[in-house]
Amino acid sequence: MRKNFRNLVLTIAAGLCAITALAQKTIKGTVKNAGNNERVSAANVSVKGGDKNTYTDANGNFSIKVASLPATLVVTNVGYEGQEVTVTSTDEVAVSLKSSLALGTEIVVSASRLPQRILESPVTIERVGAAAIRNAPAASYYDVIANLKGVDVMASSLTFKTPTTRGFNGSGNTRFTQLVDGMDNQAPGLNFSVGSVIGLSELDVDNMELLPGASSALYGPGGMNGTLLINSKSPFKYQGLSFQVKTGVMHTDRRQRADRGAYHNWNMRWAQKVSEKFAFKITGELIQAKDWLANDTRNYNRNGTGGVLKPGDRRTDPGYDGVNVYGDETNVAYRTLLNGIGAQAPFLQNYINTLTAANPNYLISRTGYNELEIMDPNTINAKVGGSLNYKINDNTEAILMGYFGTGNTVYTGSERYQLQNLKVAQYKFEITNKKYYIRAYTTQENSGDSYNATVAARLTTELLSPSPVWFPLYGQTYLAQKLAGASEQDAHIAARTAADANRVQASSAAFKNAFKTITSKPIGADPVKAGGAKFLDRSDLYAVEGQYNLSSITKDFAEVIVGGNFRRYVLNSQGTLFADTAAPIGINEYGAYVQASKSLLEDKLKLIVSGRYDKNQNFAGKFTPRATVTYKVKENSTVRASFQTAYRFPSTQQQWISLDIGSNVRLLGGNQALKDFYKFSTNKVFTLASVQAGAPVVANFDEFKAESVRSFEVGYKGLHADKKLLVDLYGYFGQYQNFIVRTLVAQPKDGNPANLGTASNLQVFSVPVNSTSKVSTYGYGIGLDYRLPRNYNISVNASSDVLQNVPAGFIAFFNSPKYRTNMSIGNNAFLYKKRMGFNLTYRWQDAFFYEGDFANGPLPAVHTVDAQVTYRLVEAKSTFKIGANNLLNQYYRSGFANPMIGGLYYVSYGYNF
Amino acid sequence: MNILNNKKLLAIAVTAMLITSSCNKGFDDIIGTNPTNTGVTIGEKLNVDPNYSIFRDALIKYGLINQISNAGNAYTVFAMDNATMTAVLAGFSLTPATFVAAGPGVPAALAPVFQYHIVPTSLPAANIPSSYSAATPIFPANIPNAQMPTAFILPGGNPLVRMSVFPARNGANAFANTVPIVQPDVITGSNGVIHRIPAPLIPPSQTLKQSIQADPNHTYLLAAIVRADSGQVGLNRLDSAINFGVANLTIFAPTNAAFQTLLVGAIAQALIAQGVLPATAIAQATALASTPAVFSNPALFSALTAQTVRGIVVYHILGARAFSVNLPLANANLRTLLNTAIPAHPGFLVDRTTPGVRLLGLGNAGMFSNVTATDRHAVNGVWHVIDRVMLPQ
Repeated sequence: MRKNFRNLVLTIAAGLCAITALAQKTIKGTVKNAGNNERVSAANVSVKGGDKNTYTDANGNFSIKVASLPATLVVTNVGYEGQEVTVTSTDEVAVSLKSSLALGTEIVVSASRLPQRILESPVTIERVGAAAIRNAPAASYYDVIANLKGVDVMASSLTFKTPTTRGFNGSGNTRFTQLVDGMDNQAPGLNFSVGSVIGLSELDVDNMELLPGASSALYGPGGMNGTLLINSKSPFKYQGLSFQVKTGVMHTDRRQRADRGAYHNWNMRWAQKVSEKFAFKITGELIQAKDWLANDTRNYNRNGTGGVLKPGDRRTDPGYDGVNVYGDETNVAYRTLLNGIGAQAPFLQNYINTLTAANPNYLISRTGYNELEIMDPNTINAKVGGSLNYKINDNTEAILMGYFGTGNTVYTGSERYQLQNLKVAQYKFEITNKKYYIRAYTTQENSGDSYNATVAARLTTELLSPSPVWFPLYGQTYLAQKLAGASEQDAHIAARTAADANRVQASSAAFKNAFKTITSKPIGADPVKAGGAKFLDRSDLYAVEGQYNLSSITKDFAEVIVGGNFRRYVLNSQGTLFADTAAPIGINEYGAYVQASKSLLEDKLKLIVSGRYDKNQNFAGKFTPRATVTYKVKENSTVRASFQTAYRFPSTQQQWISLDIGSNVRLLGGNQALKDFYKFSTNKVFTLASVQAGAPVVANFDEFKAESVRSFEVGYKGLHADKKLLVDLYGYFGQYQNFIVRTLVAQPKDGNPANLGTASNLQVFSVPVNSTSKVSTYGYGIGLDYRLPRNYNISVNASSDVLQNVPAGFIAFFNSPKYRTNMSIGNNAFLYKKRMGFNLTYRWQDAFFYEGDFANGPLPAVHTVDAQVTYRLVEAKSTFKIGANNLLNQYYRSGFANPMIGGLYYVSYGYNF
Repeated sequence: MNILNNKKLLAIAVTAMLITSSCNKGFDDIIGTNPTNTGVTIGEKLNVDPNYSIFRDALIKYGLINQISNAGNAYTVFAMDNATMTAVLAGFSLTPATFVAAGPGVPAALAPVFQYHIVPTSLPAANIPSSYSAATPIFPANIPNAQMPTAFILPGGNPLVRMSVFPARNGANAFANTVPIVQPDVITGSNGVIHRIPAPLIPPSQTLKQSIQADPNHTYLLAAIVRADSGQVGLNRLDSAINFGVANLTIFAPTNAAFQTLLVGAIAQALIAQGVLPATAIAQATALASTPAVFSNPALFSALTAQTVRGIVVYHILGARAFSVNLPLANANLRTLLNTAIPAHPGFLVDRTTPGVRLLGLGNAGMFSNVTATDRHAVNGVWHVIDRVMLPQ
């Protein structure tokens, strides 16, 4: 270690002194595409047998120093055949690269934290490069992920996309990790991945690597179901100014809106290599759109997390509670309301008894407001980012990087949330070397003016028309109508009309003022500040991690890497989300890992064994082993098998949330301190189901643990048919243990269990617990890529995920279709001077029953067609594109209670990308 | 592979993709069972029943037939057959023909009568008086009838405040107020039932207070109530309660003679205790008790304290409406308003060992109070006449 440190000091010193060998010669040159004479930027130029390497700039120019002449330059770039050029003089060199569509040549890093050919990856992996993003019809790069096999993407709104693999999809998916330039981008307080809201702007994405399946052994807690690594473009490699302007329409049929809904996306990136040692980049993206609307007004029976759709609508069901209608969650039991009147008017009690006997169980709900009426439907998303990169020496680079994003969007968690002026920033300092890296980063979250839409609508309704007045008026009018001989339905309609006589429309100034009052006051129990719907979340994450490759020492025996990390979460919501009224809550987590890989049988067999230990201050430590084996059957054909384990500590919300969600229900974290605060030990809590059944059973809580999964996987990747066909197969089996679910318990408010039968005396808590059931999943996938002549390319994939051994009544939130498939046909250089390109993608997924914290319900099968046509103006480095997402404008939803997504049609102009 | 094949292949693939991408489904309707009545309503059945054509004509005349034909609500109708209706109309100097010929709404005086025959909920015979009375939070007297609102709105116009009818069962017989239901469930329809009654239900028009005031035999009771209300306010004043339209009470009203008997005895005893000779005491007491003003005579306030008088008065009042047909058929005690102050008080005895009804107060030492007149119906209760004041202790 000490020796290395000294080396580091020396290399820094060497760099600073800028000692230049007098004998060095500078070679300059350009790289072009042999097919259409287009200048090739970001091509790697290195000196054979040396450390030196550089990249061509935006105009395809490069300049590199060689120790002596003659020298051999190696020029490579993704999508081209590599070329070696021998230079004998300092004259300018012109290199023409032939484009290549060779399959399976990509290099991936994430599968074993070591660069390797994708064909030889020990676990299933998918890679999306910048070229694929460029050629995809998808309007956002997160949508490109949806076309990979085995991937589901949840769209809470246009800019809020959450991918996952192997099931358990959801907007706030805590079982799938996203790492952007190595930084975990899960919001520390709100717990969703901020990737598509905050992350990289599209032009800055170099590549995305997707690891389906358990991956905590390498990437730490989380990643139960998969990990997505998104890497940005280095300013040393991709230089110059590039920008893209996309403009489109999202509501051509005006089914959701009166206007056609303009869509704008401006994207820019400017990178400058100031010297061989220093480069920087600035990126920015601005999206403005009229978002899709969640407009499911069907009737919903909310019952903890076990709700279902029910028949009826606002006219026919007095207790109607629309899926995407808010404010109508406030209700009273019909029986309670009428008996309340009976107590005041005993002469009607007998009559009321005959009514309640005929209709024992239904509810009367307040009149709600549709999502469109109360949410800000204008999506704005602004991202800026940048980095300063300094090469300390040829092998070592220091990077200071930051991303900041802000915007409005809508998110589905336990409720629908309007995220307004949400601000999330990530800052990182990293020193990276071929042997090691060390990085420190922080995620700074600020919920801005975000609010809970359900709570906001309910409280606004109360402010404008208090329930203690509204309900009796409703009940009296209903009774008067019934007594006058009106039919049941007519009586309810008349009662609602009477009670709503002074109801203000959502468009009125009175409503807007009241809504503003509510949404600008914080949520929570504080008697002075409370009574609102706004979050005051300022939670942060601080993380340090490092890795060292010991192979130079251990190479005779095996390739060994070691690493470790430390994380500190600081939860700060001033009591509006967490139980942090008194002071912010800190949570510390640390871990370390080691991995050894060994090649045997003339490199045909490769074994990798890794292990990782993690500890969270609130939970017992956890060891996760992983073992993989790959066997090269023949050149370009590899069979792989792996055993992986993964686990995740309960999310920060599952640990520390304390949020009253109305109707006497409070979401609690699993931390013992919260159970103590609510005196679970002295004023016992009972399972809600048993209380409702009339025979209360005391709920006991076992130690709250991390959940874990063990996963077995086999796969095959290989080239066939004269290397024109890439086949990728996988199959897996995973078993989940200590699955974290929520359970509902009830506590008598007066402390007397004998009074549990009185509904108003019940305080219900939703508490996370570990399920004792072991559920398991299995699945498989197949992907075929075929290179047709004349540069046509066809891809087909199909995959399946199945959850089994689900006990009755167990809500797993699996949320994955049993089958899904993607097909695409494309050509990125054809017709006129090979400057045209097109891509056509079709995706289908099977119907399934969606389970979410907010609502459960059936999701029908989804078919979508995306298409794009491009024309490249080579001389002007310009690309024109016409694209369509959901070309046939077939509305679909990716999650129950989420927006209906229609066609997005756009034209774009891109420069230098 | 030549270019033609290539293009063909592409065309086929693209076409296949477009064909397979059939429509995405929108929101499926959730089909459920919204309970709707199917079948023939009692209104429709009544409309074609030849035995009830005059009653039907009355309902048409007063705009009530459409209500009971509404499948969306439930009704109970107390109906009179043609023979009964003919007799009833004769009492108003009408024949069925002249009644129909008089036109809609005429005579207006009969409109409330027919409204009073319709209850907007279904009460088949099996549900009379039904278990509902058990859930009644009305004061302890557990009278086996069910107070049910009718289509008749009380003056004042509050649609919730309606004249109540009291269907009841006592032994094998069912009643509406005091009228026996001779054919329960004579017509049943999808939206309720019709019971046949042999006489009309006449809605009361006075409050208990007005009704008692109209009878000169009960001036002492009213004077006693005034004395009992001394120091009371609001509806705690019995005088207010018996005049409150939505109260629901039964008063066993002692006659003036009964009060005089009691008062003469009580005052004479008090005088004798003060040393007055018995003969003089009785003469003085008789003179003092000769007018109801005895209750407001300050000289007697110490003998007739407000509390004593109140205790006696409330001992004669039930917190529910008990028509004579609702009284227990075998000996039983009934709780009274006195139980609000003394919950454990056993009430008074209803004695059915002789023909007729006798009551026995706890403090009456075996001296029964005979019920000499029954079922004087008022808007807010019913009152019966008794010939002896009951004493609670």
